[in-house]
Amino acid sequence: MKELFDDIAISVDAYGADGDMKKTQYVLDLIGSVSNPETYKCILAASEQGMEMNCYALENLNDSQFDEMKGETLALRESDFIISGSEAIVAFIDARGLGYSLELKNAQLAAIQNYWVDIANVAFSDSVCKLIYGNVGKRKDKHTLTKDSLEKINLYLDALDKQLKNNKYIVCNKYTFADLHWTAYIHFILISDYEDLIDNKKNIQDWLQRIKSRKSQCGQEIVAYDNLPNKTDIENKKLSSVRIGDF
Amino acid sequence: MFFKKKKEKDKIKLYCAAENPGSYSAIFLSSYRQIDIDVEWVDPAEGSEYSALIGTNTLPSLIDGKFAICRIFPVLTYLNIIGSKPKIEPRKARILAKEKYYISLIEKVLWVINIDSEKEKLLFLLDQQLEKYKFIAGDELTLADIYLFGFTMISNNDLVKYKNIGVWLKKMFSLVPNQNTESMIDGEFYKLLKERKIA
Repeated sequence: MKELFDDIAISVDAYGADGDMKKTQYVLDLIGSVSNPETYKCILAASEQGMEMNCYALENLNDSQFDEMKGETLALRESDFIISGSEAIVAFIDARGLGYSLELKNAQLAAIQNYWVDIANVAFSDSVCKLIYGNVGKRKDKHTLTKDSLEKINLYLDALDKQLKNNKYIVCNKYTFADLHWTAYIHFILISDYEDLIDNKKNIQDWLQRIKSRKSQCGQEIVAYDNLPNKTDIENKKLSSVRIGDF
Repeated sequence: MFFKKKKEKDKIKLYCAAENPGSYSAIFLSSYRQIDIDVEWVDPAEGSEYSALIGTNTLPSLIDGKFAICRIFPVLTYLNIIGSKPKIEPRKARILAKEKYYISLIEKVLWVINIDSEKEKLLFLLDQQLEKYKFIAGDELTLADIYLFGFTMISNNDLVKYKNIGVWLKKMFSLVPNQNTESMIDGEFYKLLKERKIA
């Protein structure tokens, strides 16, 4: 994959060529899909941790470049290190970042956080992907699949709404990985024309408003949510890079 | 002088299933970090009312006093923080990323998907990795090793052909306190594992 990154990414030598001093020591390059919530998680993590990241849309790769991805849909490069998969990339950015890690120290809170992360990644994501992408090759027809998926999604969203009743964020009054993962999926639902799924979920709506206005974890003047692609970006196959101007 | 006798803390209860790889991962981590646990083996397929409430996805489950949590990821998170022994926590970002990468692969390919060719491909990759490094993500123990350990306990695959995985597995057993002695077979760790199907 190194050749692919060399091919499409901005040269490291050109970085900061305007003479500006930047605190970012490493240039992160991300290749991901504009319509994949796993990509959104990486963008949120980089924004939260104040890490500049050049993002390249998978949809804009030509055939030979796409083959270079070797079946992966998401990859990150930092210098000579390349890793794929959202779990690995998010963990890497969180550890490298300028802000405090999102990892919780309290055992119970950390366990609850990872329970919600797990539910989002394993159960919720499956239903969301079936709803939005359909499920090719399965016996059930698309209508049945949509109905099944919607029922399941509603079930998970009800549980999330209940969980948010007494908390500012999903686990406690602090932003955690659970919020990051759920933000990615809920944003994906919203931009895929399923806004009505959260119509009656007041606590989720309030939480989303907080997410949309909170300053990033690293304390810089950026709102992580603003870096996520919108409907127009998806049409234009555009993935915005994460830029940190406020050092 | 009157001192209130300190109430003895109840042991953590861990619900496990014989066919569930995460159960062995949780038992290993508890033993490695010397956390006192009581293991209760349950059968999600037995057809009782209780078994209907639990599914394979919810195991292992853990109860510590008033706190209860289920599913492997949160259970391991909890067991990795409580207690006084050092956590399994890579400091370097690259090791951390590799740990998560391999956990994700092991969980998807070895634990969930039932395609032998895919499993063999991954086991071959892990075997190669273990030829270069002491552990899966590098030269330090990470949770990725704990996940693979869980798989080795339920595997029907012939792991003998993966020489480096065999060496690594011996190393994993030697990491559990008091297991690398002559009386290892009577150790607490083995007692906890005694009902597992692979002897």
